[in-house]
Amino acid sequence: MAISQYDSPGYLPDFAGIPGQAAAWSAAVSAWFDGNIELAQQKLKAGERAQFYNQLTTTPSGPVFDQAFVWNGLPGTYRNRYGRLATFPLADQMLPLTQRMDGPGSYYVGPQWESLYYRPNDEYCEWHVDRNADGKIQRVTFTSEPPEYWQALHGDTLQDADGNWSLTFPGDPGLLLDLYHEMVSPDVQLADLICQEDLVDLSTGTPQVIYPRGAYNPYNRWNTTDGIVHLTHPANSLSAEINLGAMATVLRVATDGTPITDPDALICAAQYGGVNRSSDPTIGSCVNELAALGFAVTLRNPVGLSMNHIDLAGFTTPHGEPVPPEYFRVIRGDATLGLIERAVFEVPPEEGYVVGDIAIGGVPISYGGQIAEHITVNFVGMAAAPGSFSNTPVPPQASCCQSVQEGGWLRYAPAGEPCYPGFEPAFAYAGPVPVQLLTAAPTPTRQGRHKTRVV
Amino acid sequence: MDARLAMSAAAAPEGGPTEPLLDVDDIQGNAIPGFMKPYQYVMALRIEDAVAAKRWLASNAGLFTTIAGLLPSRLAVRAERLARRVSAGATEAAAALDDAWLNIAFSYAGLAKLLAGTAHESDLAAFTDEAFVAGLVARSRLLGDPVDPAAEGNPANWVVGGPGNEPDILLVFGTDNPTTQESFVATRRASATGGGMTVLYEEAGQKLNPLGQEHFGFKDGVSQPGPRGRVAADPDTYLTPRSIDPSATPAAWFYGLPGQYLVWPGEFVFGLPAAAADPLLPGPAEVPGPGWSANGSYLVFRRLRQDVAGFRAFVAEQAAAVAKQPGFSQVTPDLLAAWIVGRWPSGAPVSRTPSGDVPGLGADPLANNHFGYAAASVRLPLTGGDQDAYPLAPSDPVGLTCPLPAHIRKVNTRDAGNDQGGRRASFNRRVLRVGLPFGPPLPDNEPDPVNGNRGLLFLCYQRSIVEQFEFLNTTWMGDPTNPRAPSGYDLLVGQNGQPGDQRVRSATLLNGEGGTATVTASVEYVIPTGGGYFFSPSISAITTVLAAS
Repeated sequence: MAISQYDSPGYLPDFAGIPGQAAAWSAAVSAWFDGNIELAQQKLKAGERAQFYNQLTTTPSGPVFDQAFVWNGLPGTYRNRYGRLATFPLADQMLPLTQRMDGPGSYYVGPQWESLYYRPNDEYCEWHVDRNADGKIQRVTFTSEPPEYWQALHGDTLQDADGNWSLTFPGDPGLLLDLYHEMVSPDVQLADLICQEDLVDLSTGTPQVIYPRGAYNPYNRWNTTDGIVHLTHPANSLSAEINLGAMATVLRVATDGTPITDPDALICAAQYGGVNRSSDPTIGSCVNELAALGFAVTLRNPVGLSMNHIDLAGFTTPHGEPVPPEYFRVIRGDATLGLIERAVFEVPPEEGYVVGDIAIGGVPISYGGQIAEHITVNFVGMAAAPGSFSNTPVPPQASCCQSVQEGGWLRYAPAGEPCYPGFEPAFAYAGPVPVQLLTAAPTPTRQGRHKTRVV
Repeated sequence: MDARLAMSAAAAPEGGPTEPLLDVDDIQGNAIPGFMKPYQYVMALRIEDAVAAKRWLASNAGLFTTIAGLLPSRLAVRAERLARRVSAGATEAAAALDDAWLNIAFSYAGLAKLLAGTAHESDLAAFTDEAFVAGLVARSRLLGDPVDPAAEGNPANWVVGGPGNEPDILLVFGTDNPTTQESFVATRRASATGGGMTVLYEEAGQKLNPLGQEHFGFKDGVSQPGPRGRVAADPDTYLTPRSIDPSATPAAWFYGLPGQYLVWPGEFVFGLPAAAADPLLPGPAEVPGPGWSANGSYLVFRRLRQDVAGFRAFVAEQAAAVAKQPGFSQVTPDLLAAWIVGRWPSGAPVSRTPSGDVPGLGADPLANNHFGYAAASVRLPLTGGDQDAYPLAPSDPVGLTCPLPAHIRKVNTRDAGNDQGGRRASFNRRVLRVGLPFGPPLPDNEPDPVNGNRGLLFLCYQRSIVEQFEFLNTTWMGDPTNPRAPSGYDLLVGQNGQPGDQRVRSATLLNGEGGTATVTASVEYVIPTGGGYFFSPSISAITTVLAAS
């Protein structure tokens, strides 16, 4: 069934009071779909149609299946590399944007970025921990809200899938400030939220303005060191998810013609996301499995990332009682639909104890990640009209290497070169030609979809 | 090398991974490859006198069966069953055996008693698994067990392992016949009680029938991961036999039996290479405990009572309700039960035979586990010219053939991605199950002689209780969306411990037109009634550390 517009993630209500904002958001989401459909199309053999579709303009015939793609909130990038217990303290510590969490390298280069921070929570679910004077956790606030929503709220112009600065929004900076007051602190000033100078990336020979002076700054202190409003990890963006959904509809074969269906080998071949995460390899393979059955695939309206639910079994108060479900308060989004955008885990003050006094399976909560481990994140896909496509699979465009010492850690192979020292080719059995000899695309160093500018 | 070990050798798939040499004289054999005997007995002990218990350990260490001790029998039976294309039952080789095997495991508290005042006392801090350290009672709610102290499944009411009733030691016996079991157990019981220990609990388990069905009537233990590793220096002598023609790479590198993923042994035994991102590349060999815990393994014991009549009534009621939903008129109690399990009573997978049971398929070890979900299965060339002629499983990511909430899909996503990312969980979340049913089958049309006291002595081995056994119970079986959605709870054994949900479990079924039906379980027919978390040490750890004065 066609829809009349793309709604805001989790049906967030803030756009309703801004004339033209909801329509602008719908147009932006639609443009991201159209652009990514085109990008997927470019991967295919001439004359074949992309299996990704825009629900605003296309209504496939045949039965439709909702498919919620689910994953765990604890960062797989850390867990797979360092182990579960080591992940808890690491995932609570913000990193400067000059330090990637998934290996060597920087998201942006330049002195400005050394004092701008992101949360190393790369499963589209980030959290901020508030501790009391005793160092115990008092509150953990979770968000799955994409940065684009807040850039739009400010009235910035965003890029379409081709990098054109074409997506404009009326915005309402006053409402933006009100929401920060409500969600973080009454001390927030509008000036705190916008870039006071151009934020420039120096990773290439040509300096590139990523966030111009006057634009909304997603890495402002109230959304990073001093609070949380929306996602900050450079890969945690809505447009990136739409891109992943589109690219994952492209079927892949090894160089000997064997279909690549192993989810991990597939993401290594297609390079559509973070290889060590819980989210991207699974989202991609789920979509790809549907595409292989000839489904048309899209993301269900409202398109967004959200927390589906938290499992509180085993959470126990200091009095030995189960934790009441109300301690996990859904602040924004719709819990009944599994579209939780913001939630706070906190003990009501009258109880006389704090989150740090709660135990999970007998282990006191010392880190936000212990709670995130019990949160399921999702977005909902739609698969329609099975058997309506039979596109020709395409060869790999990338490959992976596995750390010899840390076996759970994968990295994309450097383009056209052997694996990094201390790494060995992974999934190299997928075809007769050693995968490391394939021409690999360069490892992405930043997410272009975060670029904004003011007009 | 033992001649029969040599007979087990399969040709090494050229270019496949090099697998580690297992210390077959040091690793207790129930961890890998498992006793798998038709008769089982568990005995829970409390250490009353640590000095006497150490003496008992020292004098009895030679009785604990190692891999080397059980492998000749296991291989003989396995080879015969493979030759006859049956995965269970009393074959001639099995009938000729009269083994009596014993393994031992210790709770954290049990280790603490033995090590108190010794140079190794501080070693306990090196055990990093928080579940093992805390014990099963402390973790019970996390597993979704009832919080209500009046509920049968609450630890306060467990027959063993509840507060104040927690064993220090678990002995697991495996025998080929009940007479041998009786005398073997009696001897060990007398020995243990004379060695500073008291018996807290003991119970017999056994195969209910040659097919290996559990009390609800479904063949159990069909899908076991195959630990990688060699049992002798000969490079071809694998612990887990290979059945794929070596020329069929990479499949021959992945599977023991068709569909049986080969898993690096560090997922089950400390100090051996564990799973990595690429299933064919070994991960690090870690010892998540003191140095002497190498070659040891965590053992989980759960006594699960099964309310057979309750399960049948639930299935009948829900099947009738589902059949009234548009597009589900074909649903019968037998079909719904098969959907809940993912297999028919014979063990035949729903994925390969969606409309009805095929006993020959269920019995055939070369076919009954060969299926996936992410992509259509392909016929694999088998060693010795064997054939698998049964219809192959289609690609089924949506769950139109085998529903997503089916038990076997909830605990093993096989080739499909899941909420943990990619396919890694198919290699690093697995456990080796070695339990057997207890109590007699529920008779038809006769009074129940044991008044419902029947079920499963669930036993499983793993490298991490938190990340394997508990993960499967909490994050997958006891969760409404994971590992794939739309699914729902595992209606066979999953529990819902979510506060406010009143323990109700529901699951979603799909039909080919996109229609849905919901199955809801308001009653509980699998009830935890005991158990414990244990560490099963190596023989050398027993002799040099635990039994040392």
